[in-house]
Amino acid sequence: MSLLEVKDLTIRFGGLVAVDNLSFTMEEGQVTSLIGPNGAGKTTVINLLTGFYTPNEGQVILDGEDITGNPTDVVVEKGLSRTFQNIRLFSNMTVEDNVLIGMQHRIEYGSFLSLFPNPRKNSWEKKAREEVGQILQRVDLSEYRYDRSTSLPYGKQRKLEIGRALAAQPKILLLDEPAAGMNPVEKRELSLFIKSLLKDVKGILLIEHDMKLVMDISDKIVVLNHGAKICEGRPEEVQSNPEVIEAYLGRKGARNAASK
Amino acid sequence: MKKYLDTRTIIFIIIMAGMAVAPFVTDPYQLRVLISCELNMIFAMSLNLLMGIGGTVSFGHAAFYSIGAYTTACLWYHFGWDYSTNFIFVILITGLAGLLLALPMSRITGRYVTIITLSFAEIVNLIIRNWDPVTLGQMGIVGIPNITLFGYRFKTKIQFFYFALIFVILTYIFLKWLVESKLGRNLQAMRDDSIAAEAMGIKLFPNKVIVFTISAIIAGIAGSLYAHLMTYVEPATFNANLSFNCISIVVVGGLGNFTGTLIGSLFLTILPEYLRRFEFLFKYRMIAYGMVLVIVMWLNHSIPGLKLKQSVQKFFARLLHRKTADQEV
Amino acid sequence: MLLQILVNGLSQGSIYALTAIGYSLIYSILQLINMSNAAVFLTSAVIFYALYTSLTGSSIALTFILTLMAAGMIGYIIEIIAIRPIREKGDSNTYALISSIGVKTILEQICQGTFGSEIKQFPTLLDGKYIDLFGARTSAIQIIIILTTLCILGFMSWFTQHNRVGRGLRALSQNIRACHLMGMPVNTLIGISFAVGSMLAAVSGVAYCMYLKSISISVGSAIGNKAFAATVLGGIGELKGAVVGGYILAIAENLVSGYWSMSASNFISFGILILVLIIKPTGIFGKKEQKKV
Repeated sequence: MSLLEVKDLTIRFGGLVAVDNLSFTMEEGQVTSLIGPNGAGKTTVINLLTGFYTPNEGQVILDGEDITGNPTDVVVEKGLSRTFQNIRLFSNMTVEDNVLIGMQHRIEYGSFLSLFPNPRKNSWEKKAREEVGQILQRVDLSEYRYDRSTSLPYGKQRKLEIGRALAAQPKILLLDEPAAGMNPVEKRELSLFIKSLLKDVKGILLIEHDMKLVMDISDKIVVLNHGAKICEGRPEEVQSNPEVIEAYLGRKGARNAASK
Repeated sequence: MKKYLDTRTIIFIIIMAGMAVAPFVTDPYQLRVLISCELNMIFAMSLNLLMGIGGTVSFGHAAFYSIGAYTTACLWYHFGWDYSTNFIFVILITGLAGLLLALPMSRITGRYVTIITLSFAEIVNLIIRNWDPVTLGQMGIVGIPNITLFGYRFKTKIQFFYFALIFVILTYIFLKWLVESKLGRNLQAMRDDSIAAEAMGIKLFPNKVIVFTISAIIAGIAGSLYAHLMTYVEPATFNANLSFNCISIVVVGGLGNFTGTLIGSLFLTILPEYLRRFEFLFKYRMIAYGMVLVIVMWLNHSIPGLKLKQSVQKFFARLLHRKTADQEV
Repeated sequence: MLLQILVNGLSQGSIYALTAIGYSLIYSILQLINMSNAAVFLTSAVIFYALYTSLTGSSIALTFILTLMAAGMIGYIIEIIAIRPIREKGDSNTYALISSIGVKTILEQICQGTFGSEIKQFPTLLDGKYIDLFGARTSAIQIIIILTTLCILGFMSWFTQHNRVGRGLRALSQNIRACHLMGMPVNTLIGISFAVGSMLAAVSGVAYCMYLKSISISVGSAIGNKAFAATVLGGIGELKGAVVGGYILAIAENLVSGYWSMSASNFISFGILILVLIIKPTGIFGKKEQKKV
């Protein structure tokens, strides 16, 4: 059984078919990448998986459980956690609080118990804060614990976002363009970091534009164009696929590339 | 490291200590001003919960204040109940009103919040004005006695003062608990970025409902105290300006900063009363509220304002630094 | 009876519509609910009264022009002082909204301080002249108000569609930053939109007081709220929405007060508002906001 199975996923916005009959699977212990030219519908797929959009057709099956069309809070509990293309940290909160929000669904006391001190609240808060320490160590941000999240440098903010997603203890981590705006050194560091995250989660779905990074760390690549899958396979298979080259370079460019 | 006694808590304790000894040195008129100051503190803290923590600017918070005031006034007028029973009804009714206002929030975002809260306040005021059999319409209800608790009627305003002070302290501590809990964190996350909050599995709607209800209840309590302080309630008091003044207090004190709200209340309640001495200034005292809004917005949310603020801070920092340096020499 | 209600509704609706356009115009550009608009309504009426009684003597036309100029200037100054610095930081427009509330408070207080709280007689045009419109008793001022409004609406639609400044304003409502980059005088244009909004509020304020033949300090907030409701009803940010919303609201109010009771007519505007917000929060013409993730 696959870790994640996407079957015939389709969503239409008015007349536009943003994701068209998309099917792919993710296996445990692998980094699966979703690539494609701008506007191919990659982020829409993540929004569909995490419940921000409800698909018109199709199914999403996580670990044998149908999660199609579930609201975001259920999806998070079931084990999908995401980051955003444009960093979306809670800007007026500390680094610690950002991570605490990531694990909020695992802190088991409700709104009513929030209103006054009680043993249940105290013990959960203590436990949660200890865990925050571990997570911050994992993403190498321990020294910034009580700083405001937006005071961090850009690369660290990205890491904090990943840390926040990890705090939810997801089965699958969805990373939406984590390398955007990074320099080559940072990118190399990031690719090692992403690879190492497989110790914490069962699978990673990566959306990325940087081909070198994608080819380096992916076990499997799904290529989208105009919302539809045009190819799926190991990095070297995808690289040599003529349809993929055409999607990226255009027909003429593909011919030139082939003649070289 | 995180400190247990941060500056804000220390300032809170100082203010409360100051308030506690105030009745020994004030005349009855000043005491009255201080009591309305306390009511403003409770009222503005409730709004700060909604604005600063919940991220929803309510432009009709006076609605809850007026519901609280009218609940206790009507119950006294029609049934002669004392405050201990009325208090429960104040909580129930204002809580219900908060719930009611929160319901449309599931369907709307951003700008419509402004519109809904404004209209809500207007509707509540219209109901109070026109529901003659219960609220006595335009005339209002007069002759409301001082607070009676389980048959014991407060004899002096000093007792009232301490009673209200207890509420200020309780509200402050309660809000501190709330903010430092899971609920408070989730609310702040929603305020900063509702989409990211949703992605982290926070259910937006129930949290919105809860914060509206709690905020409404606290505002209602302040309103109920107001009815007993003034001894009368009339619809004209609870107009849009009351909501706007409350916003001024919150904005001056700082969004999400409850200690700041206390200072803002002191400042913006005592200042207009002080201006009473100068007839000309008193006539235009509301301009102070307006100017404060514009200036604070300008200082905190504009580029030249922030630059000015920074350079002033730097100037004082340098001044302080030089002083300490001199002493060392 | 019905016709009479329609005529009254139309003239009242014209007043709502003019003020509502001011809200909508600025909203469409800055996504800001400019609370100072209702105060400008009142301020213009007070300025008109002050000029008429003290300076210009009995020339209504001259007073009117001076008032319009003053209102335009007030609008422009409000933008420079209270809105521009905050909007330039690109922060949430809640802060600009709070700032505009500050301006509203200041203006209202100045009016109250200088004018006092009593009701005074307001100069009007063609007093006591009535026209029989198919059985509806219509005062001359009502007809003037309706006609003036139609002219202004025509001018506004020409102004926003075919005029260079209007085109600029429409471009601004799409994307302010892009306009900046294209070298458009963004600040001047936004200033102009505030001036235009204020002038419309001024026309409406003066017209309303002429219609009532009296002025008191409370006219601003009453009409301000109604105009605001009209804007929301029509869909905030849409000029035609403001106009349609204004007329619907005024006619509904007059229907209710004609056939039912006066006090119920106060409820109807906010009743309609609640219904709209529950059924279609974006108003009649408003476009739905797409959730961007």
